[in-house]
Amino acid sequence: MNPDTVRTELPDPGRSASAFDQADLTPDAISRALDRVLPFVQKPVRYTGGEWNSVLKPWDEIPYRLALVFPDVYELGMSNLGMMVLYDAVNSQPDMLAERAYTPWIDMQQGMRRLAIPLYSLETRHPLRAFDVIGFSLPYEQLYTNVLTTLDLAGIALRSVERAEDAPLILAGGSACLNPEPVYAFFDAFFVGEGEEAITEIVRTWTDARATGLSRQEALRWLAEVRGIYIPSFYDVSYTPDGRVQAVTPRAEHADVAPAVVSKRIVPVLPPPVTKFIVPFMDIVQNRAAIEIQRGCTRGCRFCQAGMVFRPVRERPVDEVLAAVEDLIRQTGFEEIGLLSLSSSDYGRIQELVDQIVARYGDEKLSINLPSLRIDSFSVQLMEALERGRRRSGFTFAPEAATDRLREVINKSISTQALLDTAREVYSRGWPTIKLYFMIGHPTQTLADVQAIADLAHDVRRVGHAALGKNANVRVSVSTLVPKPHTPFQWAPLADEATLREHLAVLDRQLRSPGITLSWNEPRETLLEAALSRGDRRLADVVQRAWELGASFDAWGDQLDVNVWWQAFADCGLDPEWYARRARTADEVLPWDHISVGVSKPFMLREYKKALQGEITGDCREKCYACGILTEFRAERRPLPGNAWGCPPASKLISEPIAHE
Amino acid sequence: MNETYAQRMRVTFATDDSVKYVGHLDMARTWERAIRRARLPLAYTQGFNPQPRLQFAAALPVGFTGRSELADVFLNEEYEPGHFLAALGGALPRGVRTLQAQPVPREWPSLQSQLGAARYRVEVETGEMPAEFVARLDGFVDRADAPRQRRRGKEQVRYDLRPLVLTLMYSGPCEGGQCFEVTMRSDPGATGRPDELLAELGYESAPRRIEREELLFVALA
Repeated sequence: MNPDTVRTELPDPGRSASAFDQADLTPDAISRALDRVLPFVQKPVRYTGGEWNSVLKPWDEIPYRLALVFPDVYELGMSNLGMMVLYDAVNSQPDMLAERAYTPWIDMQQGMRRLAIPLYSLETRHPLRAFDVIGFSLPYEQLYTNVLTTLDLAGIALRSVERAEDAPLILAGGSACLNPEPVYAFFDAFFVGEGEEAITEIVRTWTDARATGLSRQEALRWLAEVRGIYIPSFYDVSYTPDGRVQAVTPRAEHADVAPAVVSKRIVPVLPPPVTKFIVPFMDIVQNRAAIEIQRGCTRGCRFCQAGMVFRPVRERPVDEVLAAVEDLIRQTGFEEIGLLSLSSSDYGRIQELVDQIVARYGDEKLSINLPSLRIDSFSVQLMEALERGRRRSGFTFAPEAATDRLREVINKSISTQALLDTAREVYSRGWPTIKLYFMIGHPTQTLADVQAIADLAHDVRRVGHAALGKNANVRVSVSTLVPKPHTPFQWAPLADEATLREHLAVLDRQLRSPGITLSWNEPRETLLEAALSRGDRRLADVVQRAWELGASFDAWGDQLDVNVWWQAFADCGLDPEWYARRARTADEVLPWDHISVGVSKPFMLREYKKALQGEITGDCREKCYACGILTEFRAERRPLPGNAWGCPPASKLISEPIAHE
Repeated sequence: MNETYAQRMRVTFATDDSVKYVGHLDMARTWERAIRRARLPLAYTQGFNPQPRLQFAAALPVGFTGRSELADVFLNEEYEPGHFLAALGGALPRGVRTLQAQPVPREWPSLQSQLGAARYRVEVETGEMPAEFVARLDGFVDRADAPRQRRRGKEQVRYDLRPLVLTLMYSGPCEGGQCFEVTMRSDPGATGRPDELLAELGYESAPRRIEREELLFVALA
């Protein structure tokens, strides 16, 4: 499809919530109507369900009904482990059902609008409007406009305040709602934290409240008392004269149920992994089943949101992982299984796990994918064991910065020498490709640090050439630091565009060389991501305006049109630069301060100050740096065995008072 | 075939509406995964990039259902057909139903090479009365030729659709339209497609339901 023709057709007259106000179609009517659309769209199997392990329950007999929506196309949404976990958690309840929906691609949207087919679930093909709760998964900000497309296709009012009394609860969770404010207007409720246990409680609470005859508003008050729930309409935001947030406070009439700070919810122990993974017919982005072997990370990289927000570290026992691998093969027939974590090398018994897997499945047609490995020879040995006898493609490392100094700033300590030694080992054992991930725009970064990226890439390539000759290659991927909420860098500005372009030009010039390829993010796209992730409530108008102007599928390079967004900012009298590139002072109220991930603001500020001084913080498995997690979740920790979390025993706590800043 | 395997099992199966938009390559992989789930010892080709030994008689076009499709599954161990069917049937998605399994001699030629024709049932949405519709079908049958173009890869290929239609028979009215049965050539040299016939009949984009009812072979032995 030609993206240009699609874009011009996008803001067609059908693009309003009123398009589907006619009576809801039955599943049969939807199926009949689909036969008029599906023969004429790309990849129709995105829209038909019926996959192995998808769950079909008798709709009329099930009182609690949840639609899970990933607001991007099927092949992206189906690759999301979180969706699968929630699907399994809800469907394992006998009186609940969870069905799926994804955002239809543009050709399908046009077909659905033409025939007034409302967005439906893949399992029973009920209109989304017929569900009790619609739960959106929002892992990244570029999905915001697709939320609006999805609501519109479902025939549901875009804004919470405009929603019909009988509309489903519109809920969101995921990393991109840890600052929920830029999309506060579109959701009735947000869930903060780990949802696998909370989701059933949320669906029950809401549905029961409505079943007893409570109004929408009263039911939201019930829901507000569920831990981890944030009801944005229960809060007022005030601003300082220059536009910064002054305070976010519960409204007086809801202060009895709405907490001043909404804290994330966690599962103290990882529930058993999903093994009834849905097996798609078509190729998806990740063609594999996945097992989360560990949640959280103790390394404390200061740019990394996942490393901060998924604390504490919880490991899944080796036996449980092995049993899950076996079960997954039986239940899915996938040819590849991914063992997921933020830092696989830190999984305590990784060697044992790999040895066992190789012993059991070494002779079968099964690939094991082990991403996020540390840069050391141990990682090379692990991969060698896993890939024995198979074609070797590439090895990925993420040093993120190229000088020892800057790596201390970001708290990712690994020496350049160690990186080169590891690269030598990788190439000499036959892997032809090393992918290196770097970021530019780190606080305190200078041109010399950027120059070092180019030098390091050449050094790595030289090492490879010595081992493998012309076959050796290096793929350098450079992204720009987006200082994310809930990280020590949240106060830092996004680097200015002129500097970024200058730095990218240096890399582009110096990395045009045989055996080296370079890819990078366009600074304008980074600006949009930064503005959206660091924004306040006023951005909701911008998001809606951008959508009205045609923005959708903003995570797709060939679909994103940043100019539409700049127009939307201008129409709303707001400046993306102000949100993205303004350094925030320590005493500023951040738009997301009323959302807590359990890591304290004083800890993050301390980490930011240490960063600016180039001072590292060690692995907190060894020694506790008082990030606040153990205080926040002491009730969850108390009944568990001492080693259940990656946090060291209490005796190793250092006395670093949290409130001294 | 000079490669080793223990048994060549011929499976008859049907596919319904819920999988009719699954493309042929995706369906082949669905079978491969189902066979793995069923713990059946599927044979693979030798070499650097082993491929599953799984042969379908004919790709079912996207959007079609199939009432009696055929595939050969090559196994590394011998299975009793009933056990094979029970294991495989329980591991295929709900839209694919196995009907029959039977071991066939290894020296038999491939299903694909023996296919001669296929019979389809076509329902097309139309406001026409039966007499007008029948006249339209008759009009096609009476033609000497029906030149059409078909895209093959990047190039347009000209071909004559008429000789590919072997029999064409009106079946009667159906919900919202009319129904007919057509048998079309389907061999390694030429394959007629019922959606091409619909286009030639003037129903280029009319909603339709097409089921492949039967695959007709030159000789299976």
